[in-house]
Amino acid sequence: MTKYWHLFLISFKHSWSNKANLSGQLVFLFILLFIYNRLWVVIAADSSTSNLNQTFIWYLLFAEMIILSNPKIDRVLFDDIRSGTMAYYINKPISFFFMRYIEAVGNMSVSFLILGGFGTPITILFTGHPPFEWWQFPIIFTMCYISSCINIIMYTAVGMCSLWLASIRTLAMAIERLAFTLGGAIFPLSIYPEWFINIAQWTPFYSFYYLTVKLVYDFSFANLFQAICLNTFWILLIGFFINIAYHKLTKRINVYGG
Amino acid sequence: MAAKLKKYLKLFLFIQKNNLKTAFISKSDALTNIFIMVINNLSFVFMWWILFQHKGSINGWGFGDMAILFAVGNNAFGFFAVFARGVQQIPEYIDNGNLDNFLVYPQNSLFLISTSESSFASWGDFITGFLLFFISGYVSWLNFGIMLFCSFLGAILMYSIRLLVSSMAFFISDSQRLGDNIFISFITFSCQPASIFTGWYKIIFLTILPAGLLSLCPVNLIKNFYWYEFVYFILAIAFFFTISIIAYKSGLKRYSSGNRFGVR
Amino acid sequence: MSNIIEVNQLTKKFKIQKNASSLRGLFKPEYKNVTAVDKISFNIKKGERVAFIGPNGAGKSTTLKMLSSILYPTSGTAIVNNLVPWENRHQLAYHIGTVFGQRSQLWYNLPIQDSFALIGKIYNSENISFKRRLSKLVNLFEIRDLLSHPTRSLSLGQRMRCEIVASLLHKPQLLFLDEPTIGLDVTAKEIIRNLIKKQALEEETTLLLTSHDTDDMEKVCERVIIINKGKIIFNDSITSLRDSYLNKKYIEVTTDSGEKFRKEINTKKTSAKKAIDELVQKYHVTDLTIENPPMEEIIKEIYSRD
Repeated sequence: MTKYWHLFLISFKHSWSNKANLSGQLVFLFILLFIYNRLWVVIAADSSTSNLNQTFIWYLLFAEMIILSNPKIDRVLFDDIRSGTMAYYINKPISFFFMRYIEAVGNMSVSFLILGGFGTPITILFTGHPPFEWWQFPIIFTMCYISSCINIIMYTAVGMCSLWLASIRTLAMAIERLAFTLGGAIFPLSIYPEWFINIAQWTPFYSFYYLTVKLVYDFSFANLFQAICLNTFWILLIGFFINIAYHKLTKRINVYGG
Repeated sequence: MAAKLKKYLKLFLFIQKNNLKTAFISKSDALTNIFIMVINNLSFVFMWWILFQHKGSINGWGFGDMAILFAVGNNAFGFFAVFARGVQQIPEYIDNGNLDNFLVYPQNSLFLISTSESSFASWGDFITGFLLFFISGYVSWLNFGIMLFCSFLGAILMYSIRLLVSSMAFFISDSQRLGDNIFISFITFSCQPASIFTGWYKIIFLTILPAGLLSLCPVNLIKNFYWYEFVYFILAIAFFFTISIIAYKSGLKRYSSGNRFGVR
Repeated sequence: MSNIIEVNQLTKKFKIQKNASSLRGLFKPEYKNVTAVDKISFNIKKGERVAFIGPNGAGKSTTLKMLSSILYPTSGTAIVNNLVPWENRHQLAYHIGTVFGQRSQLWYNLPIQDSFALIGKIYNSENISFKRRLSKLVNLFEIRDLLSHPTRSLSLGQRMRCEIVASLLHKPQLLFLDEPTIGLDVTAKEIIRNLIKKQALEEETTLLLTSHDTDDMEKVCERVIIINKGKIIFNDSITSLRDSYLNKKYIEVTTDSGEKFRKEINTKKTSAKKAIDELVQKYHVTDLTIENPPMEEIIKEIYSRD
């Protein structure tokens, strides 16, 4: 296990030094916060309700922390599988996918911390007091961090589809978009019509994003429990898929590995 | 001049023919990609539709205005991504040395670079664009003409911004990610209901951060056509286009004098 | 015969930014000067086949890039086909062909013939003359079977043949080849060398090729220019190079007990036969190899004589 911890640390340090990438993510987060803050302020003034932005901007912050910190493991896996790089790891005393996963988590953790660290004060500046109590902050933060880890598992599955698809770019884009709508990554699902929520409930995005991030403005232990249970279910299901795909892959390694 | 233009046009058509050929090597892949692209675009529109269902209008903008904005945005992106996406590759071409290949041909290097890549899936953007125009509630031949014209100029604006950020690679190494982020930010800004930006914000978005040219202008022109706005729209885009060409040219000069890369 | 290339005191200095990867480098750049090409002068006659040889970073590619109009020099002059390359980029393009061994000008997913057609259009070739030209080159380089295949499905050797054809489509008088055999196996190298030479002889194309491989120059070229650290250190015919430097051979034998012995001979003083006879008498030889001294060694030797 220590080797994976070591791997995590190396990846963490490496990502930490990639300032250009981090500043790019930060700029993008600020832009989103700025735009949607304007939007909710204008809507609130229009409909003479106040503090809409307090709820929605804090929600947006945490949702975007999950989405923007995505380390794009699918592309890494696509290259590994197509170039045959992964064949060289098959006889090493380390699980290839777990290795890539840990690297991705290290990478994501840096982004997640940076986005949270800079995003929180900015959001306070925009909206004042958050919609949750401060003692709930660590719980919400941890839950969102776990969602980010699950997010990577999902994109690992996308990367595995390189086995069957000539290009996974469109698929990854489609998943990203689904996360935006079905997961309610920009507007929380609570503003969507009921029939839509009913569909969304059956997808993994519902619990990774919406249920988890909703804790920001609707914190209760019942909600927390529900989120944890559903997330566990989806981890097991996607993990099962990856496992099957991995066994297929090792059989086909001659084809791609050369 | 006219003969030269004709030659480039011929070459352009030939390259597009080849692009289509490449895309249709796998027909099912090509069509699936277009389909997914349309779904992608519409899912974003759907999100806004939901919001407008709730709020009716935002600072005077209804869903119809938003549909026009997305129609122009999608078509503009379609023009850009199908016909001139190669500019996006400039940083990569510099890094792997492929830029040299474009420089030894007897044609304008920027033309060859721009047309060197094409996203077939982006034909789906046109489908989305036209679809949205027809559901916007502003359907008339005149408006269709304005929409198409704005889309085309919008594509030139996108191209200019992309060329500007790509040309940074001549001056700073490792600027690809930064450039991508600036471009995506620009697109993001131009995909919002422009009515939420008022006062100083509006001025900024129509000048130094030209996202408003892509979101506010087309919708305004379709709702109430004013000549002065129309002329400003064209001049501003011409300005950004000129700047981006200058940036590319000076970047190329720097490349050719060899500051950018070491001894190979 | 007249000169197609005239180079005089050509110099290229690179300013390399030390802190280029940081954002700070944009505002406070720190530079380091490197002279890649240092006041070199040489001429090449029409129809000559010249090799440009030297170790990594010697300045070969930089010179080639200046002559093919990609780079501006820091100082000095060059005339290629009566034009100054960096001032007449578009005009010159019609008269020169370039092959960069490590890069491809062919479209990755397109069938080779479509790439060719596109390149023909880029050079504004007339349809009829283009077809005639293409069919001639296709026969010469024996790539008819490859035409309908996309680039990605070709082996490196096949691809290189197609790259060279692509560069010859507009019938240039002058062909620049930058490492045309890099990464190829022995057989493929041999094929490429023969084809390059055959074409050059048939159409009287002037060749300037860079390489790491001494065999490339020996098999293809008549003259060699050796460059090291930006300076020309040898510029003469291959025969004279062979006479003065390549007469050193290494003979290595393996005995039945698995031991190896290595002997250095000078073929001018000792014949190879005599040396081998000696070795065979002395040991129970099971295997025998004769080698030329490696490139680096020749250069080292030439350099030390200066």
